[in-house]
Amino acid sequence: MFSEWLYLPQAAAQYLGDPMVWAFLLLGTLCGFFVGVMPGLGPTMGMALCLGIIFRLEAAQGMALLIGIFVAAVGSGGITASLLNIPGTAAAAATCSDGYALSRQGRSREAVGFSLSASVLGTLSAAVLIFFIQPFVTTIALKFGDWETFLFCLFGLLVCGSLSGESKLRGWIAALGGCLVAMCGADGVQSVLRFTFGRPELLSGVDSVVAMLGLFGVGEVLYTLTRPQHERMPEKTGFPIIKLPILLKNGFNLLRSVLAGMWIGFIPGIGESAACWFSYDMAKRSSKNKEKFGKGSEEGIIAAEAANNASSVGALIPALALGIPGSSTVAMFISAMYVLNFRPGPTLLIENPGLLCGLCLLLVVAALALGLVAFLCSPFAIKLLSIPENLLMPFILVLCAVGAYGTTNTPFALIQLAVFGILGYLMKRFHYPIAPFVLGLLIGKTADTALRRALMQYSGDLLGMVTRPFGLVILGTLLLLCVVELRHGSVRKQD
Amino acid sequence: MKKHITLLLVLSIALSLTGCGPKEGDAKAWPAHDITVDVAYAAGGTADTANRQLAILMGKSLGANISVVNVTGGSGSIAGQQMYAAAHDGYTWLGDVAHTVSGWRCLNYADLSWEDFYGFYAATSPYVLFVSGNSPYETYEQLFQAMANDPAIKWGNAGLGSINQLTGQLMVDTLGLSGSSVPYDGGRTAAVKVVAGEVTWSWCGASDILDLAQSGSIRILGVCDDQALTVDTPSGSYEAPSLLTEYPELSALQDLLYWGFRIPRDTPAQVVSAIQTAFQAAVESQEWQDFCASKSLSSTCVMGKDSDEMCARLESIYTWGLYDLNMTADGVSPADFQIPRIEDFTFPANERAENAAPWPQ
Repeated sequence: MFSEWLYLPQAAAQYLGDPMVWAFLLLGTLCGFFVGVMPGLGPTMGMALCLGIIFRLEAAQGMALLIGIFVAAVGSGGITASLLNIPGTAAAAATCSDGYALSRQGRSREAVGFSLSASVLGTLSAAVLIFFIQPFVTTIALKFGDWETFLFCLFGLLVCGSLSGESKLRGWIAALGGCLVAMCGADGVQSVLRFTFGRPELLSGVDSVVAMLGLFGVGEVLYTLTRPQHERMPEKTGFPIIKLPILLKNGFNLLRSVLAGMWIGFIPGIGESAACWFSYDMAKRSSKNKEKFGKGSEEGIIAAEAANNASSVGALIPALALGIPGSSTVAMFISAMYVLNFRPGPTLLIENPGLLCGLCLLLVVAALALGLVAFLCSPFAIKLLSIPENLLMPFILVLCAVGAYGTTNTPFALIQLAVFGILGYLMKRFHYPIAPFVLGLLIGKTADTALRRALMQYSGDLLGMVTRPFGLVILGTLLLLCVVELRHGSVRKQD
Repeated sequence: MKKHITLLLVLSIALSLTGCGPKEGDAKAWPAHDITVDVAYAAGGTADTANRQLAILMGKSLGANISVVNVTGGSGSIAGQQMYAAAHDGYTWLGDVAHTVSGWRCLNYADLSWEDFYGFYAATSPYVLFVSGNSPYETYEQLFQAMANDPAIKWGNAGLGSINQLTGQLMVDTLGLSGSSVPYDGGRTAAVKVVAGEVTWSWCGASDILDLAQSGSIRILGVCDDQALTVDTPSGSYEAPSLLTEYPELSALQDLLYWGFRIPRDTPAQVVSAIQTAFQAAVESQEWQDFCASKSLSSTCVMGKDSDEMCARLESIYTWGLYDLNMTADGVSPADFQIPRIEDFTFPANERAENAAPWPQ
């Protein structure tokens, strides 16, 4: 299993020696950038669109196209999140909090610069790290059962308090609301229908991307249009501003976010969408400037973007090694691999030695290509902000509607979008934070299903469930975090 | 002034868009424009990838672009209803698995079943019974014996109410065994849980797990097919025996897993004929054979009466399976639709099957 490392020189020659591979990688990056900044399109749609042509390409060229789209689409989702408060992809939702706040201060070029550089560095570091730890990833993923997944979800719900700005209680209330909405649809164990209101479109629950487009995008439009204009500070358009000293100062933040993102990415189902929130929370807890979070903190943008890119890379490896996709993005990636005559699963690396080396190399080059393409193309996106708000907001509304419809291909998505838009507006109006609601929505159903499945697996042996080694570590961390939260709460009361 | 210019622009865009759709009464033969396949399952699964490959191959011979969109949820009924609501002119297909439409009536999802469609199925895979590669059970007899002695032995299924779970449970019931099951999100996930040691055995289509067997991570103990299945592993080959030799009563579970697409049954006959021709050409192509080989699927060409009979048989197994699990809508029984249990199944099984419009010759 360690022999994969030895194929690096051979893979470098095979994957990077062909100029067409570079050409397809660049093409993929351009396409990925476009689908990433367009709300609701994202990496899944981008890769689906390229399925029609990659079967005509050689394997290395097809992989280059695919990796280009994948990396660029995930990495550029933060740009729309920062500029328009619409998460271009689900993974970019946490970037909205600080990226958009920074943009409203007239510093959108900085916001895009931080988002972009964190995305590039996150992908680069994750690609290098994954190359070295790949022999152990499958074992780790197999040890992560339903009980561990449930504990991890609890961890997420605890985090919600600190994602909420001033009032932790409001954060937990919002998270509970998100969990309740996540219960909608047929449950994952007994297939019992919950909160479907007789609508067949709700049988599979609420689509989280549509919900996020509504909560962030439409909610913001409604909020902005009901307030006096010209709140946004005017600024010059141009290339993103990348502040190296701040990036260097955030070196540890970046590394921690990459590690956390990758680790969370290994968990099928919740990894990719939730990684940014966990990482954001960790950055906030350890920051000296906690008060800046949610108001345009560079640390927040860097943590969220580095983690969501690292988690997308991290999610690929167990999915390729086990053949079980944890998300629709990874499912589409696996599907495209089949079209290229690869067979994801335990035999993948036996049948294709050097494939993982090639994949890591392409990821590294794609990250650099994303940096270049996004840097050169971002001014067009930033220029959007020079449009007066009363004209920009209807445009955002149209983007959200197109994105919502494109996600589910059903007209019902527009009704969902409107409902979540109004909810987003009301939450903002009455100072309930949206981030914990989204996190609750993302992990609520997983928590419910994972706990019930774990109880079914260990019926009659609950001690066996609680004493699983990985579970014990997470349980210990969870208890520690609870103690810290309680102590922090009591100290604040005394103050 | 600006307002007038904007209004003018909007009106001209709207007017130009009205000319974008296909004109009624177009003289050109079918297909005159793009075809859409609403795939009822998520991107990346076998139903999705098979339909994308068929779209490429059939698009070539029909001379039209066939685009695939995923409309998931509601056990496929959302995609089904969306497709059925579109004009029945051959331009909208439903990409699915053969059993997809069978349960909708009993689940109260949609008043549609197999006889409302013509089904075209291009790939199949037999059900297999398997355990972890390091399991103490090396034959199905050993596993069945252990299950008979210890009803607490757990098996992982592809989700409660899924066709894999219902057929797996039917196998357990037919053999007079018992065992509690844990539902997962699909056959592949259940197989990985078998590898992780969280459940003892599982049951799903061979195409979902053949590579896990070839890597030695799982061991296939039996196959629900006439033929045994040879599995090549790093430590040598072995033959997974046919379960039907010793248990012919399990033959009801044979030939049930098919992937392809459907079109409404009242689609014009010349359109159906064109689709039949293109479908046959696609599944006979080398590209399709290669695709099936890469996914551990067997290429097949099921349409016509064979397709109807297979779908009717699936309806029987699926609806009664749901009913026995109390998963049909309140107060609804398959008997209400004259669906016989699989033990009593003959084709045509009821008036609906007898009255279904025949396939064009």
